[in-house]
Amino acid sequence: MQKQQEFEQIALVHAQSLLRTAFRLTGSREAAEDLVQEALLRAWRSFEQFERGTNAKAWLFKIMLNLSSRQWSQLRSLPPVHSMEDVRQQPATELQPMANAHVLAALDGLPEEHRVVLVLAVIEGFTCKEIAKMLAIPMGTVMSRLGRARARLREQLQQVDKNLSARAAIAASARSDSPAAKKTADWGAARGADARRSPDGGLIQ
Amino acid sequence: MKCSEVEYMAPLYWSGELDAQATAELDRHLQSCSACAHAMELERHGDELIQQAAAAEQIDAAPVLARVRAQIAAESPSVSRRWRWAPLVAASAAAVFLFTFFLLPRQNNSSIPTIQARPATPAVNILADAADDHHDEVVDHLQREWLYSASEIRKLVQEGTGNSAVLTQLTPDGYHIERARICELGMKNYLHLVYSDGTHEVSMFVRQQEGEQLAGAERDTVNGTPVLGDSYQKLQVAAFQSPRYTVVVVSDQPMNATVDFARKAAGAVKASDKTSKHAVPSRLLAQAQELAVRKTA
Repeated sequence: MQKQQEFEQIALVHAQSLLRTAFRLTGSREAAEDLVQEALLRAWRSFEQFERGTNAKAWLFKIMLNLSSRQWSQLRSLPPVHSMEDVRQQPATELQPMANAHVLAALDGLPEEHRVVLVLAVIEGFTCKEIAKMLAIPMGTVMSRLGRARARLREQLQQVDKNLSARAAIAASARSDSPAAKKTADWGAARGADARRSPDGGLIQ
Repeated sequence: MKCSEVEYMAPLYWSGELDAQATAELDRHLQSCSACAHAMELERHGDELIQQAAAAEQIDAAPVLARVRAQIAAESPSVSRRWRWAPLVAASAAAVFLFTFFLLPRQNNSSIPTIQARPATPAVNILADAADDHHDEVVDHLQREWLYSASEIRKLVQEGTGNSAVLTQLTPDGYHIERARICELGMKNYLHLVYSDGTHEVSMFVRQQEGEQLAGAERDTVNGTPVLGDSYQKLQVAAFQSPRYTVVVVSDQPMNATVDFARKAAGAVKASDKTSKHAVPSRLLAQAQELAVRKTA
């Protein structure tokens, strides 16, 4: 029972972080839950070898990433949790600046090797050294992938921004062409003209 | 600091892994280079957007936790299943005893405010890095990109050091080369050579030396070359520097045996060192790294 309590405090507290990353890896909520469940159970079965005081979160992520690399090929064909296509389908009236859905769609649209390092570094807060160990790749590779991942994400977000701006312009134009809009504009113009006349009816220069 | 160096080190800057000196160098560059400052600001903003989006995402871990807890309860009290250990004597002793300074060109700029203040970070802890690496080998059984073929190992050594004879020079008496790979320690590539006598395994880490500072107790001297040694997590580590190479020896045998490995290697390596330095192009180490990585594809 004591071991279970210890595992609860050391390992299970990271379940949400694991699940969040698993979503980004697998693109499927069901697969993500299965992956995290298996990772936590493996961690439980090797818990006696875990060195207390070391980074438990990094240890758990290593186990999960090791598992996911074997399952990846089966899951790669699944659509991402958020897709850029979903974003483009949104009505043009949604003009709020860079919605969270846009950002996540851009993130999910990155190649997996870029997406993984970006998630681990930016969302989960791991260092480049920790990520290198988790993925069993050199640290220099992690650093270069992060640089490229950030650049590609920026490109994707800039494209989204352009699309949003274009749709906003179209929406604004459509509203201004409507009969009600024309009436409002004419009234506004008339009020403006009245304001420019002097009390005696002459134009104010 | 050059713009290319800023671009390369940006990930370490954001993760807080740069030491105080490097951070200050980078900050000074950003103050004087608007292009880099703009690029870094875009990166910072992008990270902020990702973090906000992730924080807003609804993640419900309750169902998974419930299943895990149920399974744990079902497996208890028979929780004596252990992860299989490779015996310590047969396991690769992958610890490193090295303290490197991150070498950067100094610039004569005055101190100026930073765009995004970063906390000062300590230098990379190679000792902890090495201990974790050994822990990974034994506990987690992570897949490693080892080369086992003698010809491939010789080629790797040639490409990595510029001299395939290093392979033999580092071989302890009664041992043979068993496997090799490229590893990265302290943000530098090392050749990791594992020698075996059938019972024990000894690791030799080697790279072309670039003036790294080795710290540790001096255990011996070979023709004027100090051999340093120390213990870390039940592993014994010895190290030396020839005019061309930095070599670190790790084993689970007593300190005097480990130092002996290093002493003999130092004698053999130094005897064949040329007085003039042969620059090993970094691309060769990169090629060696790629070679090791491709083995796992």
